[in-house]
Amino acid sequence: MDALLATKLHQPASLTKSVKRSQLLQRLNAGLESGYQIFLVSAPAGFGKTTCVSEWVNTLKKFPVTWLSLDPADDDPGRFFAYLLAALQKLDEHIGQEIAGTLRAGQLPPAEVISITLINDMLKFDREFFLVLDDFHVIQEVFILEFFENLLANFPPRFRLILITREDPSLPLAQLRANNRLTEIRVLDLRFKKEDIERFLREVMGVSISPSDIGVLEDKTEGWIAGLQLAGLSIRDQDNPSDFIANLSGSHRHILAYLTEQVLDRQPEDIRAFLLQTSILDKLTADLCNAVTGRVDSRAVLERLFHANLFLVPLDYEGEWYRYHHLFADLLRSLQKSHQAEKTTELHRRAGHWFAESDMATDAIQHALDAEDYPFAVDLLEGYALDMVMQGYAKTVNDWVKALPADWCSQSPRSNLALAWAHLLRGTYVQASPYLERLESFFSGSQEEEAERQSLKTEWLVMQSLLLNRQGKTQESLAMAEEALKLVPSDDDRVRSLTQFCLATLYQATGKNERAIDAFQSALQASRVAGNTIVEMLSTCGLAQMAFEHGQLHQAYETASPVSAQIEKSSSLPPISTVIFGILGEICYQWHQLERARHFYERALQLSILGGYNSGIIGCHTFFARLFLLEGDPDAAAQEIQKSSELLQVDTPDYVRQETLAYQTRVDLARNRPAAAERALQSEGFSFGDQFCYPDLPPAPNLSYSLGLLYNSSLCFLLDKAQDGRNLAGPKNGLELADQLLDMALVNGLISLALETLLLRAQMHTVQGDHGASQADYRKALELAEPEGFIAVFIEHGQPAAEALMEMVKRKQLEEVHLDYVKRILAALSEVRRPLRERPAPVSSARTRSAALIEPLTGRELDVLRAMSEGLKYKEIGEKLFISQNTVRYHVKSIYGKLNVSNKTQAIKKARGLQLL
Amino acid sequence: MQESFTYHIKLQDAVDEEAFNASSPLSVKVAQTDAETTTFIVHTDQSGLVGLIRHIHHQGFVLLSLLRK
Repeated sequence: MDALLATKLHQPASLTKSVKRSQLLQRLNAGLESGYQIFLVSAPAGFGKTTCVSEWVNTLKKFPVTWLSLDPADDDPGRFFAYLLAALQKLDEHIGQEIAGTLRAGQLPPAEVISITLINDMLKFDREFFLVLDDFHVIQEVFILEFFENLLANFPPRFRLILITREDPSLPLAQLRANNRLTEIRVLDLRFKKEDIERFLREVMGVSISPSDIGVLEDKTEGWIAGLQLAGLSIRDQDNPSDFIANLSGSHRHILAYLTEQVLDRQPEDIRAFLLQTSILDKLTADLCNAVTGRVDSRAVLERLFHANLFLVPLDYEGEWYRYHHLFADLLRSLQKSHQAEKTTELHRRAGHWFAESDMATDAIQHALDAEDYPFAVDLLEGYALDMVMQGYAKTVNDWVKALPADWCSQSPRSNLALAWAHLLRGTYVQASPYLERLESFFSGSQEEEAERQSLKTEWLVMQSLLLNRQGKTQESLAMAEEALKLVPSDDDRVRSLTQFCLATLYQATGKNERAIDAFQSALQASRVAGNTIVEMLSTCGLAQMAFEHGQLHQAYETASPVSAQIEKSSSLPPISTVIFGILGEICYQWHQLERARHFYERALQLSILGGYNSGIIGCHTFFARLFLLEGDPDAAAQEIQKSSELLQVDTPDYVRQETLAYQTRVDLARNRPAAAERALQSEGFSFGDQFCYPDLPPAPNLSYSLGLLYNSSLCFLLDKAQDGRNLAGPKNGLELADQLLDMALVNGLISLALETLLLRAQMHTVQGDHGASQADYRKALELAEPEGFIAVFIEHGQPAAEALMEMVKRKQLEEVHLDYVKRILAALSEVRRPLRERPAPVSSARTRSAALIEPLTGRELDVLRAMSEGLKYKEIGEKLFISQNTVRYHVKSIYGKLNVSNKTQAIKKARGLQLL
Repeated sequence: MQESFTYHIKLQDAVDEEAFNASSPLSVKVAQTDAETTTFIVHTDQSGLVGLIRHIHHQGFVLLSLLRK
């Protein structure tokens, strides 16, 4: 993959000789002084748009300016945002860091998320700053335009955007005009007037002609600068410039073609050849030009062309890279192609090899395709496609594959593989099929060596297995993954890690826990050898998830914790990061470390939103609903669970849907809305008429944690009815279900689930008047929970649990359970039992209000804000929160940005106004 | 090339002027509309016109005719 080309971020150097456009600069400055934020310079090619803007921003010395020159390849969201962030990070390295991490992990956050995140980052700027996007007309991708629409709708006050374009972009500019937010420079403003033409020809081109000839030239070229420059070059050697000018006729394009040929004819043969041959290049450097032309003196030629005003634009300060003026290049290219079509192909081939040797894949592949050198293009695609797709450049790779003739598409299995992965990873499963079919056809041939073929077939089987699993065909999926494992070449650790991971998830889904753990561990080992960090993270996450579900909180924490640290340190944020933070949050929740749990889930939510990971977003809102329930705020819980429900889609995985529904029911019950809870459970096959009926339980190995939660919710509903005296028979019927559920959970080792079922069964026994059985269940729950320190599960069952535990303590019936542990639970329960108004306001309330900001303050930022309001200095805040002073500074800067304030007093005042403090 | 002109742009279907202008690069004025077609009037240069045509395409409208007055 190419490194970001610094040349694209380089503001074009000012020409040593140019005509100052004072009126244009005045116009732009007037817009700036009037507070206009968007500057549109829109005119056809050759009117000096870039030069005009470059000259203007050079005068803005007191403001930071960053520049991005776009080209057609940038009309790919992955590539565009990578460059945009690189440009913005020249101003402040913190801008868009999270987005950049997500992009590096091959994910593309939704346009709205990118714009909101960037806007919040930009709000931190304390003075005006400028972004120039040159050649914006190349951007036609709706996703990118949507980003700009969002940006324009919520424009950061100190941001100034300059768009240089050949056509008005498909953005709501009409509104900007109406709202006096747009300064425009258009073709009529840019065209040279008589006096400009005279000065340009005399001072820049070194040509002196009569005022009448200047008048004619103005009429013929309509002040078109590119045409005037060509005319100047042509006139230099004319004996009779007046005749030459008088004979110019036709459209601009015609004049341009005519003048270009005139200019070319005046060059020595070798320079003419150089211009034509190098016209195929979008950017030129001496070494590349040598490779393409076969010359050895390209550096001298480039310098000579530059000084002769032959439309060569420097792309850096060092004089290494140049490009031809777009119009001139277009004309040269069409001349080259029409006169020497075959030679052109060879030139592209040479350029492709030069770029390949320089490890600049994008240009190399494009030139190989232009050369119609398909074996070379396929060879390059095989080497680069997978990496590029994994870095989010799926559209670019797809465009290349589409540019290959049909016969050649199947000759690039790695490209097809990469594009199939791109769709599988983004959840667009149906669209993966054509690539998988193409791959399959590849196996029938035998062009590749056996090991390579075997490796590809294994990966293909893994992908097919994932697709089958997605369609609910678990057994077929498992069989396919097991077949894949037999085929993995012994030395291909990447494919081995993928296969083992696929198997592990299937074993996990079918209750084969020991096999699942073995497979996760094999995947982990192979991924480390292969350097496949994504599978390494996925496998660690799988192990942590299994440990959590099996009640091994400490082991789960120790497994997940180093990965979270690794994620925070790395520059890549794959979607799986969400799950790691979610597991850590869940463990802290169970340990009743609610603030830490909240922090982990806030991070998980942030990463889910960045990665467009819908299931993650749903899971986070569901968690916040549980947290609010635990804190005794059912209305806030209802708002969170509502967000989860609204995000449920047809293709939402079952486990996410089941978990959401399970907690939706509990929120409804907490809000005294039993009818709503009943409706939700009825939709899943539960019935609460005269007799409680429930859907058949699956075979024991297939009972998942989330399905178990749903059954437990039906027990919650029964208990609610019984406590209301509406149906005292409910618990009796429910006991049967609780017995079965508990047995299955314990057989499957689902301790977290079993604990809850035990507590529910204990309450049912109480309702039935069987206090002995109830106490036995409470004791069993305590015995199961104590080794790993579960607390929250008892708090969730509030008053009944508190009364039962107090009774057990009073009667000294704890047996093996330690008194200290029960006292900790009771202390937590007593806090919950205090009326809400008497408890300290939960931080979550601040969090909710904080959500009113464009970007809510994180839990950590709220901590820092509170410490600031207590009058602590940075050092003291750092000591209090166990963070460095630099980190405190970073949080403070972020708080100021989000609150749109510039000092501590304002921040505290605004935070109080928003009731964040 | 550089001059601004008045163009009549005819699109398929009824199009609401206000809704169109809310997202358009150029402000247009509806000259005539019925259930099947809408004719806009716009005054602009070539860059504005090309941008508008592309916007019409991005928005999924069907362009029926374009006339310079």
